[in-house]
Amino acid sequence: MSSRTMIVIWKWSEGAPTIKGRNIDEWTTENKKDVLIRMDIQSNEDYPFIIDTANQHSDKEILLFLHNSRPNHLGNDARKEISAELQQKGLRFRVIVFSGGKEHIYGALNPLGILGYEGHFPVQEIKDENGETRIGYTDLVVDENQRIINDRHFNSVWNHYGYSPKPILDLAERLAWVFIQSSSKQKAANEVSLKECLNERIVWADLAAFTTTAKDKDYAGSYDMRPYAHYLNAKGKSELAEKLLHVQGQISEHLEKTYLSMQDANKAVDNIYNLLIELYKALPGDLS
Amino acid sequence: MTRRACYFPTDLPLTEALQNSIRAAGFECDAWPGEDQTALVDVVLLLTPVWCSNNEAVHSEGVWRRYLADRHPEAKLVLTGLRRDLAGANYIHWLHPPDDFYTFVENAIPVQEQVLTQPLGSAMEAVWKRLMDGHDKGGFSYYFTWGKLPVLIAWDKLNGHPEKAEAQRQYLLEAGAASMLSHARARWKMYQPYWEASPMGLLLAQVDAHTQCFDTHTQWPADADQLLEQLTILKEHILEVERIIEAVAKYFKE
Repeated sequence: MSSRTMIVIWKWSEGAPTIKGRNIDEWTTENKKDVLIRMDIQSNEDYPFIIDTANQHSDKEILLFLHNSRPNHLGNDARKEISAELQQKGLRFRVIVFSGGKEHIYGALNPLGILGYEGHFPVQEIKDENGETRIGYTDLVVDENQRIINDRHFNSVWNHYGYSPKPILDLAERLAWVFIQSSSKQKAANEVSLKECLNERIVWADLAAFTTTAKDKDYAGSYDMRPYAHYLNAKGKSELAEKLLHVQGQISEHLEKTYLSMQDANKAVDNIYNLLIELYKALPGDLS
Repeated sequence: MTRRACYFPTDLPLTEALQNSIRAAGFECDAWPGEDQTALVDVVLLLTPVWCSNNEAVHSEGVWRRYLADRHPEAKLVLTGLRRDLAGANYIHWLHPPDDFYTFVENAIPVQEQVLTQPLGSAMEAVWKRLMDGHDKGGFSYYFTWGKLPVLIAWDKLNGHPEKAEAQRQYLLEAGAASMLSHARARWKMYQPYWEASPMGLLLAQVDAHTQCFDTHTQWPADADQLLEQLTILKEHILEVERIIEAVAKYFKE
């Protein structure tokens, strides 16, 4: 397995004031291969610094977490903008927008999470040798001075988000919305280009990324399912990996047709959407 | 008597076939007008999920069901989209609308008896809970309550007692009322786009407007008259926010 980098943009400066804007800190896992970078970006002007930081890890797989709440407010628009930049640089990455505390990355929900409250790593009550209770980090933090974190926590979060089928649902929902919203514009045409119909909200590009299966092609961002397929196989879920491959093939066939009658274009979108939905329903939510 | 069918989102481009089918069945057909307790609605056609202006998709059908069951109990809620697996009594596949809309509506389950399938994506109820509760002490409810109380108490003590201005000013500063209200405003503003997908979008946009003064009216002037005037304005907005939230909260609770 190649080494991995998680970049987590969150309200770290509330717990560690030294991390804000262009200041970061870096933690490694016990095996010294994987890296967790903490950033607290609170201004659009600092977006380039996210790209620069990710780019410094271009030889690794990258998960970039964007906190979509106070004080960072990095939502889907930021995801889109940053993803385009990372893709242009050929990075192997996935961008995850998160917030709200009810997610796997939070220690409150997942004992192997990496976020606590108020800008800290997760904490717990710890009894010292004298039987006295104090508040200290969970076993996430192996050595605070050396900045070493526990592999198990890193893997739990990585596997949950890095190999999530959620992009499939996101793609299906965007596809349906773009198609339905544009359906009034398509009345007059005798023949339509599916690519033009689905150009809005980069649905076409993401569908193309989704269908990428060739080993020699560049990594294609959050909708590239090759790492997920690889992970399914590694977890002994080869039937599901084959199902994914089969759906990718079916959708590819639809995308290859340049011009279609309106009726056939409708059928194609309907088929693609329902293939994605059925696939999403069949895949396990969490393989970590 | 002509019956009324409304569609949502209001810019939903109904196909000609579906519009014809709806009108042939004897329905007037127009976009959801917002909260209107007097005009009856017989059918609501809801595209789900709805994409909001913050570029997020949300499933609001549960909120619509509760809202209609309360305000329009005889109505039928019909979902639409491309899901083949949901096609049935209350779901219209976008590309295969019923030929006979009248019979379709007759056979649809009334909103009070309707049981919805668990949405695959993000449900509006969960988003509301996240806004209100936060995940530590940072929910809207927390900030709003701890911003509201000092303002109401200070107003009550200052009203008719200008000599207490400095004491009340100090009290407001110590209670951190300005910061609490500012946090409440920030949280509401961030979540506001989601409510566009609810039947009460216009009403909830008023909360957004009322909370704007949480940022602009919290300087606590030393002059008693000015302080009272400011607290009076804040109090009115706070009570209005509270009234609206109390009125709609039940629709967001599963």
